[in-house]
Amino acid sequence: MLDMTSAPPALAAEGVTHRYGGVLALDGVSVQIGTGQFVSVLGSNGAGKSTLAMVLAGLLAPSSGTVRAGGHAVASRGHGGPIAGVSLVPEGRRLFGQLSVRENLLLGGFGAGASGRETRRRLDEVLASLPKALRDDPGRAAATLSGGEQQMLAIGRAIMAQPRTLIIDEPSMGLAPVLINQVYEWLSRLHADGVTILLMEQMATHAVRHSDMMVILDRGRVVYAGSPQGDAASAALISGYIGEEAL
Amino acid sequence: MGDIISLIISGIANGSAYALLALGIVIIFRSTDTVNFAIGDTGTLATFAALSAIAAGVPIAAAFFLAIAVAGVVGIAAERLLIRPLGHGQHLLFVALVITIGLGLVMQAGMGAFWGNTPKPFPPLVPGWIQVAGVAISLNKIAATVFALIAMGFVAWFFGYMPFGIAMRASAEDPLAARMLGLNTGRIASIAWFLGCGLAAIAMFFLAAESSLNPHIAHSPLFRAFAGVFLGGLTSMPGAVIGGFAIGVLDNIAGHYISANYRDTIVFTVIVVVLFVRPAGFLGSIRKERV
Repeated sequence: MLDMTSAPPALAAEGVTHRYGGVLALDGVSVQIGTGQFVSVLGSNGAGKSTLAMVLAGLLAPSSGTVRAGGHAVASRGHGGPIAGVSLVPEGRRLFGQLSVRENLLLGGFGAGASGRETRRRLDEVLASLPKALRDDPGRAAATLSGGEQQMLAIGRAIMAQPRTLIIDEPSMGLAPVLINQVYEWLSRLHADGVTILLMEQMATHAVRHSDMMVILDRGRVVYAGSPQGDAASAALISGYIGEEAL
Repeated sequence: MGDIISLIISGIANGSAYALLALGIVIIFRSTDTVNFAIGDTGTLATFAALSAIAAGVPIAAAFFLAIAVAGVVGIAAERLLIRPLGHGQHLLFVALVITIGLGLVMQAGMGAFWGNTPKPFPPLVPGWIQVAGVAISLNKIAATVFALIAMGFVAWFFGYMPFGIAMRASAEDPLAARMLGLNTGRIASIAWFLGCGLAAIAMFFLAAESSLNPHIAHSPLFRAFAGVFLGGLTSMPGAVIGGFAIGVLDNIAGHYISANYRDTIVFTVIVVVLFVRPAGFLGSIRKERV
């Protein structure tokens, strides 16, 4: 476990275990995400990244262990619920395909409890940050957007809640390199604006470049937590993706 | 020409109950992805409760609102106890459908046991008749038509522009994603079932006053309301109302020009032809998805 700041961490998992029936997805995971940090959780397919994202967002109650936000326990065994100030962009985006771009965004603010006037103000702001195709036709159904447009819309919808912490799961999945760059540029801008970013990624290249802390998961366990730079980080990455025997 | 106009006017008046029922069906379907076959019986049950209240001295206007409340509460209970535990998924659509058919049959048996199966006279909310284009129409039917049109306008505005209405549509499409955004999907489902079943109570309240009240009164109107839903489009609320009115008009025209014995045959033949040309109905939309 690594504590990078003296202030209470934005999010912390303490001995979190989660099982899907007999399958162990997270095995005693302890990790702290400092306020204002850009943290990447890396690992191969099935490492437990999406489960950890859901648990840290309060959407999945852990089988055991505790999740804390700002120092307060918010989820523990059998108890969970969306955590105020934390927004999740889930794997696969889960946009409402039959709803328009504008309606998807509006629900991001409405779900977070923003007033009608405030939601409309945020809507204009977020729409201005989206690619031109979305800005020009906000009445278009989300299901008809390209993969890159959908990813930008999913981030925009999460931003509508004005989260203090943004958890984003596999943002580069299925996107062309130029679109991945756009997504990471936006995440960097949000980070510069003070939003804590927790990124779940399989593709390490971009994540490592933007992060100030890296966590590597392997079969539900934290095998590395620390700086994304240096020999120890490189060795952990190789071990986490290829296996101990590769070292 | 005069015949046609009078048939259309009286058909619209007759179709108002189908339109209200159809709107209730679509609200529940679009919010919770459930086709509620018990909606007509829920409205009938509420109308029986109103009849008992009227017999106990409650004014008819108060009994009308009581019926809406009873149907709404029964709807909420049905959703919470029978539908919500099923979870969500395409295969559960059919399970829920069978459950609501069963619930409707149980309600009919219960109403028969409690209030009896013999038809009971039911007072109109608005007594009297007026002449419209030479056709005598009961004020009760006019009131039902006005209610259906107001309800259609309100619901179209609510679901199209109000955040809570949009959240109801989102919740039907992907409840987990809706919960991720902090939307209370349980409350959304409850409100949808309350609204849908409340509209059914209005429909049955007006229908009972046109003939009489018995536990099986919802059979034929529900059949026609579903026809209206598919004619207008299962996903379109204005479409459902227009479909309900269209069924009333078709019914009248078929009965007048061909034969009252072949009303259903003619009505449903026309629907089959329309759906063959426009599978999503007049105003429904086919799901658009980029591949």
